[in-house]
Amino acid sequence: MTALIRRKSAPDRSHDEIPPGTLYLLILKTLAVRGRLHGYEIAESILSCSDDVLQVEEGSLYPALQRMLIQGWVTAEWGVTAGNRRARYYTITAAGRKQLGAEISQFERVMGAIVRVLETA
Amino acid sequence: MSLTGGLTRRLRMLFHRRQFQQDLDDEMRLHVELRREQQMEAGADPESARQAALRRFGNTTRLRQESERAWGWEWLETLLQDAAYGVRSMLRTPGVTSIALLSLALGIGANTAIFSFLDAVMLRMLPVKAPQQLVKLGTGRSAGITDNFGDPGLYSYPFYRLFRSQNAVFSDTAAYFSLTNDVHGFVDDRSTPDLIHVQAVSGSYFETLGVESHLGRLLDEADDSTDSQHPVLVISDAFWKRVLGQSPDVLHHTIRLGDVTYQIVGVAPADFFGTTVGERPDAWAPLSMEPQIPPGWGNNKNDFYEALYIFGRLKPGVTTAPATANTNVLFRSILLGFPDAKLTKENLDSLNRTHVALQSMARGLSNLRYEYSEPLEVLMAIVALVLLIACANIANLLLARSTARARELAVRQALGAGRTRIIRQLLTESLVLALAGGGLGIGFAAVANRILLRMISQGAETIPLDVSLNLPLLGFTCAITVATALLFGTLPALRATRLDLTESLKSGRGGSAGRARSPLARVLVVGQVAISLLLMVGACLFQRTLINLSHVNAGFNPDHVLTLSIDSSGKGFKENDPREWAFF
Repeated sequence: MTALIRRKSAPDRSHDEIPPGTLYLLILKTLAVRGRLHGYEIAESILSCSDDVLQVEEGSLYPALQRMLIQGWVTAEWGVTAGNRRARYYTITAAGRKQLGAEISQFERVMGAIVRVLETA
Repeated sequence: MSLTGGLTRRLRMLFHRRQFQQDLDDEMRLHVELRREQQMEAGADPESARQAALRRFGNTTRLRQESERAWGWEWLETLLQDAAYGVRSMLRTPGVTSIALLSLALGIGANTAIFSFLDAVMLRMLPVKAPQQLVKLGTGRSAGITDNFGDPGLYSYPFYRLFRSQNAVFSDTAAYFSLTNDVHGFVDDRSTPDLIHVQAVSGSYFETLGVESHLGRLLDEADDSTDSQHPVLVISDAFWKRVLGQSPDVLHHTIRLGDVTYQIVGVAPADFFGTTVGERPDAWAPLSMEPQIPPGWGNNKNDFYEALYIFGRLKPGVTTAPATANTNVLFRSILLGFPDAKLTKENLDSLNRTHVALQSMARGLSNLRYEYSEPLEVLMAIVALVLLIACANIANLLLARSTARARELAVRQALGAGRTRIIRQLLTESLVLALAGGGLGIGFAAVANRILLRMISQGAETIPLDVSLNLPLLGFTCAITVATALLFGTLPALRATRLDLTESLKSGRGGSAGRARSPLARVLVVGQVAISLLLMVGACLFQRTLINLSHVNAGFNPDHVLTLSIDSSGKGFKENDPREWAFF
């Protein structure tokens, strides 16, 4: 019987989905630290900085980047990669840094609360 | 970030959409390629590397839509889509569309045209300070010169002087000659005369009205103090532009009327057209000069040369009733006090029967009003009925069309279209129809207005009347027709989308054959036929009368006969000059 209920694709335990609502935080922080990056580099950077734990659903970076462009948190310009390819590079703005601060403090507040709940249990 | 910054970025995206989509596609393709190369370096074969890259990236179509939605223009896009679809479906049924458009245009256009006219002739206030405080003595129906003993509408200059100083109810009173003098005058040293409509007014005229000059000064009491000694003119803004080319040194120009050269002392404001609707004097002269325009005309000394209208501004807090009482008491005492009053029994009897009514001057005087009030009201009622028919017509057409489209709607629903989406699309379609009709209606109204004005004008000059479209009413008629279109375009949609789909898919196949019309549609048809019949009978009667009138036998042969009038005052001829008689 078991052979018949084979999962189509086993859940990949080596990567964890990022917690909801933290995508902006991760992108902003990455850009703040690493400077000028294109989309693929942002995804790779998040993955490697988190020791390959946090995996961004790679496509969802782009709608998020569009929303951040509207907000004025990042700016974009076209440039050439090391492999001589045309790529759109993103840079964080002053408004973006302010937003990063706000996102960090909010995240810490929520994390702190969750940790406190876990400790009392 | 500021809201405006976000908005400008959104707008920029809207105007560079193609570029934007291209950029996004390039960016995402690059990402997938880089991932594929990375997988291949890690040892995967090309095909599985490509699949892994795509899998990790996610659904590109969905992501692209999501990115675009982030910019917030989705609504605009669907709106444009629906509008385009609406236009296409309108063009598919040209008969229905043109009838609907025609009804809309007629309904909106005719109503707006007639009401704009009605407004200009009957309703609009004079462009002066607090017009509702102004009242006139008498009805203003008669114009000209009379020597009746105590006419309740026309007054002599001495009467006006005494009335002005003695009354207790008006803060100020003014008088003006009941006729506008059409004279030919010469500007500066020009050799060709210009036709100038001159209105003679008392020195208090402009101050009582509360009108401020556009340039220079207006007439004052000093101009009206001694007979024939104050040759000054205030010209209208239109005359300034037409004849003097809007020259800024207008105050250094003169106008010669007959023997007298008048100094131009000021220009009236552009919106001021005097106090008579349908007339538009080119210049205002003080009443003191009236005997000179043209020479031998007018008389400021004679107690019974009654040719002036008198109006006044009520003192604050004074109502019409005490003002009327005071006016009538004064009317009698002034007339009886004139030394040359012929106190015959007949005259005294007629004076006792005479009552001076005070009427609001807020909307000015107008002969047009007396002539055309009733026809305009009848016309207004008729076009209101036309509007009703137009609405019923559109309602019916849209009902029929939507019912016929029940199957199409069912198919689309079956294919997964949301109910709100379908209803929104039908709304948009109705709106496109209504807006197109509204546009046609406005054009129609503008043309109809000009034709109407031409029809009631006699001779070469069009009556100077501001019949520009009445915006509030235009808004009203547009709102009514648009609301009808939306209501009846959408109601069937609501009904149709609630249908049992399979039933509709099956039974709708044979078109509308055998389908009973809804009671609503039947009521609409009956009402429409009834009103149309009424209007048609009325129109036929009118036409018959008109044809009869044009065949009335005047008792002489009117073929090739013209009338001729000569203005000789420009050459300095006195009235009844023998040379003038000799001319004939």
